[in-house]
Amino acid sequence: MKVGLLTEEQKELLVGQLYMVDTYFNPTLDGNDNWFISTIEMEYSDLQWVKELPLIDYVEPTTPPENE
Amino acid sequence: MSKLRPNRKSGLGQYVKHGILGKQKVYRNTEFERVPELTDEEKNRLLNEKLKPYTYDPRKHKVVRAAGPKDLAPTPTPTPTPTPTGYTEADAYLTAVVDAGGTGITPTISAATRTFYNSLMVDGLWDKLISFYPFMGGTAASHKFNGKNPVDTDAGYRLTYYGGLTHDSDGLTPNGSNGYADTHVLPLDYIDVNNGSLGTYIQTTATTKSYPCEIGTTYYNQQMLLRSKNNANLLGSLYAGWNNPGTSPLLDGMIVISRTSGDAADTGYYQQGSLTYTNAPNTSPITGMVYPVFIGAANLRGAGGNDYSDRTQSFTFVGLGLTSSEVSNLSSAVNTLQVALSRNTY
Repeated sequence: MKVGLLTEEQKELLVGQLYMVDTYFNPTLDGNDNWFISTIEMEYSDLQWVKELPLIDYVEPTTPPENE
Repeated sequence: MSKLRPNRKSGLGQYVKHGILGKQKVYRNTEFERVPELTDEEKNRLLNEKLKPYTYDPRKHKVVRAAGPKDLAPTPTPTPTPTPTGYTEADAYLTAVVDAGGTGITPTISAATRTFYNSLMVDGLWDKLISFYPFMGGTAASHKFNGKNPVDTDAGYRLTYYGGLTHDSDGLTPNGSNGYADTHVLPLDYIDVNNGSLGTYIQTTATTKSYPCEIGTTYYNQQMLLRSKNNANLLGSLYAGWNNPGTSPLLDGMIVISRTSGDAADTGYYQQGSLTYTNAPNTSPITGMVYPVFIGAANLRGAGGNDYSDRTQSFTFVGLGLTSSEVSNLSSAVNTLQVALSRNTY
């Protein structure tokens, strides 16, 4: 699965911003500690720089769920 | 005609004339005998001397009939409160869906939705559901509504979406990496350690995720979760520790975890309406259940989503504890609605 790679500064710009009706960006850390957003967020955003984010392979965090 | 006046001068026993002139008759003056002024005590004593004591003589006093219900003041008959049909509530939800741009709400779907709401009322489930999401209309805007209170506010428990999710006629699908929906339901406002439930109707069991959480919130060892493990077994937690049913492989369709008491038999996992596993209960405090329940992920101590799922959900709820029969009735009603929506899995 591909995701859009964010810098720390870009992540800060997107937190709390809507990318479509009722739906907020959710910058998240992957298993390599890279900030990313989904391709869905990139597709529906009106921000051109978001649409042009570099794509990377998603690496799932390996942290086990709490209290397993 | 003469008019006689009282003979004020005449004394007791004297005679007076009374009548028409020439036809007068003679009457004896019988004025009241004057008595000395008496005190109240003396009056009462004299009165009691004159009165005979009352005694009941059945020969003299006939009882016509014994006192019965007709002699009592009429007790108003309580008017039974009719069970609501749920039609008004169903129509409110459907209106919200259509007004938000939802599609596919045909007369058949409307009728099925009314039937579903009626089942919730008749089966006594309405008051046990804190919020539920029928995911009808096929769009983000139409899927957000809480079927119990379809208003567009956080206080009404409408969904707010984060990250990557898609919406279609099957329901809501989080992307498994950063997508989830915030219900705004704070469990501790409603539940206690022996009273709570979660459930969702999933379209598929297949996933690439290790521990996908379909719905829940967590605060260290205090958890209210419904999830699976390694693409296989159903897991859940209410409200400390989590437990693997082991021999209960995850099925598609309606999955529910519910707890109604501190007894092991009353904490159960249900799949497609049937109890598949019971869990040893705990009595740990649940004071950390103050973060809203997420759909498509677990709320990690209020810090955001965790354990993202990629399963499509067609119906999801947060509720108070449900008994086995209530879970069975709810699962049946939800599945019937899915049949009408052509997205049932069983």
